[in-house]
Amino acid sequence: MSEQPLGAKRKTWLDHLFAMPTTILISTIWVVFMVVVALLADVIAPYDFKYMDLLGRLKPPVWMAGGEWEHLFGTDHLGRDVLSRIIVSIRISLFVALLGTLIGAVLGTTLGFAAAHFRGRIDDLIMILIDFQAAVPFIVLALAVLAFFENSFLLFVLVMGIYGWERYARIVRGLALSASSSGYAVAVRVLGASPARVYLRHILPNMASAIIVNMTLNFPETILVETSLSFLGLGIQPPLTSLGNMVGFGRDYLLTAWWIVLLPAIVIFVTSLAFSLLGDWLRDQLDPTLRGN
Amino acid sequence: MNSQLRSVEPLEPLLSVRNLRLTFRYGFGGWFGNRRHVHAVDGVSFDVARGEVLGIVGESSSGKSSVAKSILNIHPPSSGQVVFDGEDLDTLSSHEWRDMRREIQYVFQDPLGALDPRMTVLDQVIEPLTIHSIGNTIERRRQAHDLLGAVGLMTESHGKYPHELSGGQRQRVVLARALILKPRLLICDEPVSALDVSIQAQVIQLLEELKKTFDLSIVFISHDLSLIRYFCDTMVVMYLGRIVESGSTAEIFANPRHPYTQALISAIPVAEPGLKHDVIALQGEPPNPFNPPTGCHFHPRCRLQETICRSVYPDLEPVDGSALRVACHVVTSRHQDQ
Amino acid sequence: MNLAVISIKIFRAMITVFLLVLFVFVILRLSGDPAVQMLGLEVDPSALEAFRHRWGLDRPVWQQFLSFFWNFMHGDFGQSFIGGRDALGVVLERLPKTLWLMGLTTIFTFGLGIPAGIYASLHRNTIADRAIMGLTVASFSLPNFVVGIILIMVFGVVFRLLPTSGSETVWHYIMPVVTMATADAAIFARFSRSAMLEVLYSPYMRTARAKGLMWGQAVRRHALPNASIPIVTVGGIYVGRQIAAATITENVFAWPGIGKLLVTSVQTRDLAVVQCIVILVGLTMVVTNLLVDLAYGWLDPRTRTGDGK
Repeated sequence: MSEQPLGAKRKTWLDHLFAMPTTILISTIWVVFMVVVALLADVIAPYDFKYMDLLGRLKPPVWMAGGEWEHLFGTDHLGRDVLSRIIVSIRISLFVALLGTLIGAVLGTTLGFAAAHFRGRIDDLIMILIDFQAAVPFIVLALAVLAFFENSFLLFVLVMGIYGWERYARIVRGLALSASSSGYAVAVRVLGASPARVYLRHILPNMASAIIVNMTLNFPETILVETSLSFLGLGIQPPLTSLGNMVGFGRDYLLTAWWIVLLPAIVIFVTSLAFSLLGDWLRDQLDPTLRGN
Repeated sequence: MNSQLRSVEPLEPLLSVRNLRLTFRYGFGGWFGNRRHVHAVDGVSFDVARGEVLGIVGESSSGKSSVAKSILNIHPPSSGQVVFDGEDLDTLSSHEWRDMRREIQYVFQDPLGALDPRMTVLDQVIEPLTIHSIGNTIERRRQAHDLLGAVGLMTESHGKYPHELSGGQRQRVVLARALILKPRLLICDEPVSALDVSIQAQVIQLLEELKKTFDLSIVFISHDLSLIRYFCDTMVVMYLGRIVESGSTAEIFANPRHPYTQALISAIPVAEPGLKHDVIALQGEPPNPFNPPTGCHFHPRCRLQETICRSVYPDLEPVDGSALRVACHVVTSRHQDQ
Repeated sequence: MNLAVISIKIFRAMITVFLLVLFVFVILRLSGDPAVQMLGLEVDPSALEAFRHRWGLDRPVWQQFLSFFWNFMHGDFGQSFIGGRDALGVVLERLPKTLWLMGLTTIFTFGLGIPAGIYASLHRNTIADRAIMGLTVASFSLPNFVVGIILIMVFGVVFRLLPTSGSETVWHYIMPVVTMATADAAIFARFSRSAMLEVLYSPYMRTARAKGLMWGQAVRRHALPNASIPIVTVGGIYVGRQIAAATITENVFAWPGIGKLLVTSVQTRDLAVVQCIVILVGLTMVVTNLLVDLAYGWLDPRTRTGDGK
């Protein structure tokens, strides 16, 4: 709610749209496109992504010699339509990343609040957990967990959820500590509010933008982690497909059927880039005091 | 009015504080170094009668804010007794404290900090009613609206956010929010210090009116002696966590006994420039709360200091048989000699 | 920094290590019978018994943990499936390859990234600056396996210039190092740029100019030393990123190092090796962070007086 000079009208969302630099506009369009694809995957995909046509293996994409219109992007080593697989992979990757980000945010925020509210030993304990998580590279931890337990989809999503919780916890803890000693938190307590009310209706809304900023950072990173793990064959397992999966399994065919690998790789690159740029720009808009990293 | 009105004798004080202590601990303790203690409030006792305004005066390290926070349980007291309307606050459960919140309210020094930047001022005045489930939505809005009007905030401003108002307007909002529960005791901690001098007078006047309208008892904490003199019936002078002088405002200003009080009062600027008056300048630095002087805490800066002052802390003793009390060896012994 | 503060830092580091071992221990317990996990199902029951006894699995839990810890302290992480050899031995054997990879990558990262960032900061808002910024964003948006695959495609498949797997010759080093260096060089470039910018336009630089220093001298004498402080902080994060990057890159290029070993071991459930690597990596990180923390305290006089919470 910033002050407007006399006579200025409120900026509508259209004004904001036209204020975007071109690259950001393109990124936004791509991101929206990806989301639409993810939502409409069942409808858009020309084939069932699992369907194997063993006679029609390793067909090239339509613009190359030997390509057909039925398989725009060709088929892979098991005769599955590459385009359909890419479409479904987008849905699965985005879904897993979204779920993971949300889980991480809720977990981190709750623990951050707990640390700030209870102080003392609980705070120390949570700080130690944060240090631990920040100390060991996540991929190593994830691999350890995935090594010792059977890799199910549920477990994998949980592991993705744990990625980055410690950053939320640190931020929330810091903000909650300074907020609870600030004027209005004390004032509302004196008015008779319960601690829950103070946190949920006063402190949380005031830190919402910080949490959201962190989520915009966390989301593309989660996509990258999931993709990398899937590439190694330890993430999303067949029959489910993921962009990383496709690159990983298609590696052996790099010489003969490069489209199996390159097309998903390009999608990964462009999507990840688009999310990063958009996230950066959003962060600048939300909080101009944050300097770009 | 509160349905919990107890039948207490009219002469019994509304608020009674006895030997209140609040001690803070700093440092790691345990393995690395000792914990350091600060006795923010070190044995404070006073009463507030119904309809009375008590002033608490002191420098920044005197502990006056801590007294307020102890009474309100923002920092629970380390020891001592606080009795409000016959009830010992120490015995209250958290549920009972919630009800007690309706009786005792607090006005902060910094009105901008005391308000949630994301809520309109009307919503913030409504909130206490919501917390205590008073009335329905329409009634609450009505009450808040009326009260904001009563404190002098125009209707156009009711939908604004705290940062869109001036300092004086914000403090009015804070007052309205504090008073909407119809408390009987209002504790004001430097309520006008953050405001421009021209606005200060307006807010003080507002306080006076509200006091009459709401039949309030007030504890008024300030470092500004002229305000205390104007507004308070009785007063208490604090130094490093203890009371050094207490009594009625009129008496103390007419004839301050404690050397600290004398120095403070002599420093009040006088309206007529040509009039000479002796200013007693305090020597030395304000004391370090982590390492207070031995004996009477004031002795290093006191012009009356004697040997005993360095080793023994003086108790608060009555002087001249009146309600006036002073904590000073020299004053007490002089009084005894007479 | 006084001794108390240093001691606290070391203490916290030790707790983190303890927690790490606890973590591995708990996971091992939760996921099934450790003996079966480690030795496999087809083994003789007497071997299972011997294993259980050796690792104290027939004793109360806390004792088990203690013997677990004790074994780790002595470098005994169990037997790997690879020829039944000692897990630690297997890991240490692969260590040099990974270290070589990391070392070269670090040289590239620092050698390329930091000067690029400094250059960009000194030529702010010129085409060079924007180009560098654009390139860096693209670089760290790419997961490094994608970079690796693209490099393989271009140089290995299409142009057949470079070998795509293994590590025998010098030529084998090129693509893996470039792959690993890309994202981090980008991050360092951005970071040094913003660190320099912050310093270049600060009041004390203007004072230095006012004193009569030439621009170059001012940069060298004042800007660079102060900008180095945040760079040290990033250094700690860097080691972690290197390890993560190595894990993936080695798999892309079939590089016989620890990263590949880790993934293979996870795939074959060679838990002794996984255990070993996790703990060694954790230990390395904890020590690195501790050193960075201490170095930071020494470099930045503002933090010397104590650990502010």
